[in-house]
Amino acid sequence: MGRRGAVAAGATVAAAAVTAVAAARRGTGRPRAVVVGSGAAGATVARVLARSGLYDVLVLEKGPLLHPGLGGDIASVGNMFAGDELAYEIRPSPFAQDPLLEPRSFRPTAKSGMRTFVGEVNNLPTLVGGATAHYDAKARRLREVDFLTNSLLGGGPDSPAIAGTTYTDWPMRYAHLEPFYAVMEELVGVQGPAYRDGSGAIVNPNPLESPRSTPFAMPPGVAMYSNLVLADAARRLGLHPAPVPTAVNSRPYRGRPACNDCAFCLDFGCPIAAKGGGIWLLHDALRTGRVELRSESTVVRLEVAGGSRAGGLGHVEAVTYIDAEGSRQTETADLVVLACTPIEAVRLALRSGIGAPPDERDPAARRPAAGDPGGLLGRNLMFHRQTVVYGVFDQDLHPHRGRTSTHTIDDLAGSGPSPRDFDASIPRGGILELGGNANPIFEAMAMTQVAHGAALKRILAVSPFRRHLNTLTMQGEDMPQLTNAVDLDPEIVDVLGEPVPRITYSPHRHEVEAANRYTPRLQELLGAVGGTGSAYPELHALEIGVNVPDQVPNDKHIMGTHRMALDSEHGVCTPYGRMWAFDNLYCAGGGLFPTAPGYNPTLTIWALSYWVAAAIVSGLGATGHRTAAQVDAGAATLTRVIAQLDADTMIARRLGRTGVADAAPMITPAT
Amino acid sequence: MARLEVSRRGFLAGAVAGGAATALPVDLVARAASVLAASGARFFTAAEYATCDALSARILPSDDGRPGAREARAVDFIDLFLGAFDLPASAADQPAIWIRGPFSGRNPYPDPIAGGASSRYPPSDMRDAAGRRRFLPLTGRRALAWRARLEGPAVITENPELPDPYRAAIKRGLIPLDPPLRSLYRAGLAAFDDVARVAAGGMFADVPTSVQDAILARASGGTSLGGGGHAPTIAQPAAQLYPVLEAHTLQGCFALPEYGGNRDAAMWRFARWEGDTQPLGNTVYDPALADADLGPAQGRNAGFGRPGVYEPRGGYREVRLVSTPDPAADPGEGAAIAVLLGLR
Repeated sequence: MGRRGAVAAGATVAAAAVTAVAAARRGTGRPRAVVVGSGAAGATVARVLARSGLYDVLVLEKGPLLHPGLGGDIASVGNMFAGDELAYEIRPSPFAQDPLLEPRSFRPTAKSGMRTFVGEVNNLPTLVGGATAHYDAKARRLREVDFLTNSLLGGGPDSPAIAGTTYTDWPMRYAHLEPFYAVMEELVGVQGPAYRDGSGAIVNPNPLESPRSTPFAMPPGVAMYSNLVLADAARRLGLHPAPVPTAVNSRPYRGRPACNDCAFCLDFGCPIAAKGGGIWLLHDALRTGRVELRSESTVVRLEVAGGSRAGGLGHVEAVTYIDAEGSRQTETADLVVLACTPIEAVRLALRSGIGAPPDERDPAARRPAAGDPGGLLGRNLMFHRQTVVYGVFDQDLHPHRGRTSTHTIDDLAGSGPSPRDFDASIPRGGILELGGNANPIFEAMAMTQVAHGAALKRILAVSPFRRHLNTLTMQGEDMPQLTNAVDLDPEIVDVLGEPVPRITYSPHRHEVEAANRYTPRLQELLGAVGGTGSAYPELHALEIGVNVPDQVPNDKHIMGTHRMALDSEHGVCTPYGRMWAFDNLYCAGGGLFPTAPGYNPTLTIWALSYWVAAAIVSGLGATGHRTAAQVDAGAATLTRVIAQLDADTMIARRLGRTGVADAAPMITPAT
Repeated sequence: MARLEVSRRGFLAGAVAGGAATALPVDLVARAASVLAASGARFFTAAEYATCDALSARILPSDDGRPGAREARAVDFIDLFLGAFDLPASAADQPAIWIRGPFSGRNPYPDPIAGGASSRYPPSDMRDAAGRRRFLPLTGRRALAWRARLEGPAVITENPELPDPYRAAIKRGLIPLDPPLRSLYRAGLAAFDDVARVAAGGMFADVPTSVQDAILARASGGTSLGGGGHAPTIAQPAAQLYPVLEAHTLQGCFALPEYGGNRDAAMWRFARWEGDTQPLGNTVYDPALADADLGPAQGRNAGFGRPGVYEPRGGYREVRLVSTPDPAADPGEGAAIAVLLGLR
């Protein structure tokens, strides 16, 4: 494929700088990996590549560094986050992508015109460490059935079981990813209820999770009152509420303190570093001495080499970025990993001459193009369909005291976790998150919809939202569709002059019907709080309502757009994250998900990122596994990387130190 | 959710029928006047400051004898924001957009040995030793965005350093930008004074609160005063400012005091809200529940009630909390909410 536009005008100086840097690099004798993005995915990949000793790693992050001292002694790593509702929930936040500088556009379908909205669309925090700064850290695994639901429903590789979708199986199985879930739970620090009993067996109080090989790193922290009253009602209805696995310390852990339930979790950076996230994996990576981080550096182009490599594959030889001073810089790369959200990865690929946007007149048609033989790049954008039901209760629930949500219920995610339990007649919804809170500025501003002046003040004194609200949020599975896509807005550019991403998205009938079906169950659950037989008989809901989703998607769970598959006809990336059409371009993150099961995606992003990085360092990433049996064998190789690079973890001890696979290069764990 | 059935018409009619609404205590008025004199307003003129203060005072009033927007100095919050880029180096280290954390210094460290709070407090990260406010740096082009919000699109469209197509997208309105706040306030506050002059022959701050409330009812798009047919007309700039001013007033009441409002955190006390809680947090360590191997357990929590026992070896059992009513809560609160929601 043709080299894309070469390096832009004014790059002469930059080119000289590149030469100098490259020369300096040669001294290490190691190839250089450039990782675009420093969040959950990028930090994990950078950490594994650096610890392998096989790569020098350059991490380019467009957001600012808000953790002074990162990479030094962990006890002295600072932060600038406060329990500050104004900064993090009312104004465009310090780590938000500013919609005036970097807007995105949106339209429901290609028939809606060029766009129907410009501004904040699915924005994630952009800062060093990524969106794990703002999340409330639910760290859920997918279940066994989630990897092969399409087959269980009677579909096949070319036949999605749900009409109008591209529903498909994942190229690997839960058992393949299980050790990667386990190692990431331990590296990030996940609290949860499963423990090891006296006989050494794992006991999991949540019967709806798939088998696990290790207990959680920490026990559950203090439960929130607002969650306990809902869990009590749920049990009486025959549901299975359980403490939610959460990447928040319940005990001092790996140099960071225990959470003290300060009330500012979802949307906020953690002021005491009790929240686990990408930032601490990046800290680990920097400690190897083989990782360089450049913040406020926005990658705008992948420089694709002319000609083609063995097998007709493309090759990325450099990346161009705009640095903190606004200057264009180019850095050579032997390996590039896109870890910059499913939306930004597509934008960057399209800007670099990889793939093609959908045909406006036939948006459901694939468009095979250079770098994307399957014509799927940017397609199958998925979110979670949130169904929100809330109640105003007569008793003060102090719903802010805690970690936003401490319990979840899995009964509405579909049939049981094992393929043996699969029942096609049960609609797939998603996990049900209990609790959620409102802060005082939000409450006051919301209440101006109904009252002003003295009347407003009387309402704020009793606080129906902030003190008396309890919420249920179902994260419903969203179907992949070719017509839900990311491309470039034809007119609008951002402050750097780069075309902004355009999101075209409409829900499929499946998730709308599932939401409609489960909404009454959620209302029933809220109505069952308190009363006879309850541990909280004095409580009851004064009012139960349903929140209707906004038209413009603002979901933070973003998946699809460069899905993995066993061949390039069915996915943009291999089962190991490499773009099928390239020899050295990999993707990590939620964009790899072939489907969007109704669980918070971050832990799966972590597990897949370790999986992808393990494939790179073991050499497996370069191969094109095309059968389930090959992936099954490959998984064993990848698992050995865990045993070698993170030998001090519970999962590594369980796996045993099995040595290096014959085909894999020598790996030296960093100290 | 049921719409609130609080009748604005009934409320205001009552206020007017009963003559002037309950007057503010004289000392509060005097205090406000002295605060004005010493305010060192950065954006507002003295007249604008008085008008904005008077408007805020009716948006969240203190007629009930409890602090409202005037006592919180919401006007200072608004002035600091509108003048965010005009602060002298002696007042702030960065433009006043986002305060810098992590700690305010209002809350102590926990005491993991004795349980509960210790007597040690961290210094405030939000001010330096000289009392100068500390804010987060506006990295990248963020200063540009905030200036545009405050001053208008020319900050971007007339900036030759920015890419032409971006400037054009702002100019054409392809990228939406709300009306600039500084001119919105200038024109809107003047318009409120004009309306007050026509209606009652005085500046907004000087006319009776019943008249002020009537003007605000019109500006907010609420029902007009019935009966007399003398409802003042509201000039467009005042109507445009109203929703912005209302939002900013409420922000000024309930934001961190470091932003200039919520003086002495009085509005948090009104709302029975702990505010920022770090580094103490809401979980108070209970040494009686400590695990030998894992450090202090989290147990007793004044807000949560009394916990059960955490068993480190018999398995990670869910910590069970016994429900106890919040002693601070008004036992009639539920009933009051039901009435406010129109359910009873």
